[in-house]
This record gives sequence, structure tokens and C-alpha cells, in this order.
Amino acid sequence: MAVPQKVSEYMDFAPPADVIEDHGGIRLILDVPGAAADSLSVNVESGELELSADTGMKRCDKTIRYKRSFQISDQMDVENIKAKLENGVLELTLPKHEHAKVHKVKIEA
Amino acid sequence: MLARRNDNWGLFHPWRTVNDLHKEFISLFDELSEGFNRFRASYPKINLNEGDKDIVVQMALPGYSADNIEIEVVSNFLMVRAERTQPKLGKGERLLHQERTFGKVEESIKLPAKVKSPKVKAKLADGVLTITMPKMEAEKAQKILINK
Repeated sequence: MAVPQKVSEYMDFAPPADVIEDHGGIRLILDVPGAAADSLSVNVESGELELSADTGMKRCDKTIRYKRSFQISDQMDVENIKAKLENGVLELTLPKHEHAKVHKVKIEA
Repeated sequence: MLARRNDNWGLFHPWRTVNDLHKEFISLFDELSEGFNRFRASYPKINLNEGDKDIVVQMALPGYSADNIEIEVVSNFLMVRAERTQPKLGKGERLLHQERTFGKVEESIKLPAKVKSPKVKAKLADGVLTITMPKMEAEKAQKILINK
């Protein structure tokens, strides 16, 4: 007899992402159209950043959800990650630890 | 003029309704589903729901501003054009990886019924454009009496 499979009530999508680096850290920008701010979760555990967000949109009676994870370097200061959600675009700012930042040293004349 | 242009598309353009595309999408994934289910690249671009009175189309346009979205409705065709530009990199910034797309998008959708064009409403929220189109009432059969 066939074992009934557990049917998820979500349809998951991996949102497309851009990664921009500057001296202070990294900006991770993702297209998450329809994502609700109150359902957004960003977790970092053992070098992996995982994000998840529900939308109010449905397809085939399932709620469309965004889910994606990224490996992040231990140079990142995970305590100070900032998230901004605007017009369906999520921007995560990951600063580098102070000791990992590039410090320019001025040469004294 | 516009109507005529649309008619030409009907002849030369391989029109398919969103529903057809959707069915294909779903059946493709049903075939592949067992080993390949959780992650699908990108996000759903268009959702179409037909109710008794309205047709509602939701289109994903993350980061697009209302000023750069143009919507046209003629009879049972919906056309949306939108554009977003890639923000310039700041000083000292480097693009390490890019998956998001920029530039112009154009979607033409054949609706499952004719709609009342002047009563179409559009709303842009959280990067989703929602277009609500009241359907034209179906032409009722009218009884005609024969003069005696």
C-alpha cells in the first residue's frame, strides 16, 4: 500500500540574489516580490545564513514562500546584520569584523 | 489603432493564455518532482485568477516604481511594460555575483474573458502589481416575440 506523502502547504522559490562587496562588508540584495516584512526571518548558524519569507500569494492552493541559504565567511560580523525590505527587494547588509577590514595606513613623511 | 495592432498579434504571435503556460509549468514539475522539488529558480512572475465578476492578474515587479510601469487593456488582452535600472555601484564597491535582471520587461496576456477596460484598477504594493479587471457581462439571450 502506498504511504501517503506529507504535502507541504508551501511552494518554495529561491529568490535571485546580487552580491556587492565594499571595504566594510557585503550587501546581499534579493528580489522577493510580495514578501511580508512580518514573516521575514534571517538566521545565521555555523557559517550559513538562511532566509525565509512568506507571501500573501498562492499558486495551486499553496502559499508562495521564499527560502534560500548562503555560506558566509567567518570574517562577517553576524551580530550586526541589517535587513531592509522595500518594494519587494530585500537588502541585507553584512559588516565585516573590525579586524577583517582593510585598514589603510598612512605613511608619515 | 491599438485594437488593430492586437489583432495582428493574434495572427502572428503564438498566443497562449497564462493558464496554458501554467499547466505546462505544473506538469513539467510533476514529472520531475520527486527528486527536484523544493527549490525553483527565481520567483513566480504572473498569477491569474478568474472569479465570477473579476479577473485578477498579479505580476511580480520587485523594485519597479509605478512611474516606470505602463498598463494597457484592450478587450481581452492585457499588456504590461515596465523598466528598472541597475543602481550604480558606489565608490569602492564591487559586484561579486549577479542573478537579478534589469532593463525592460514586457508581458502580454490573453485574458480568459473580455473586460471593462475603463473600470480596470491597478495597485503596486511590496513589488507586486495587482490588476483587477471587471468582466464584461455575458450577453444574455433575449427572447424576441413575433408580431402577430
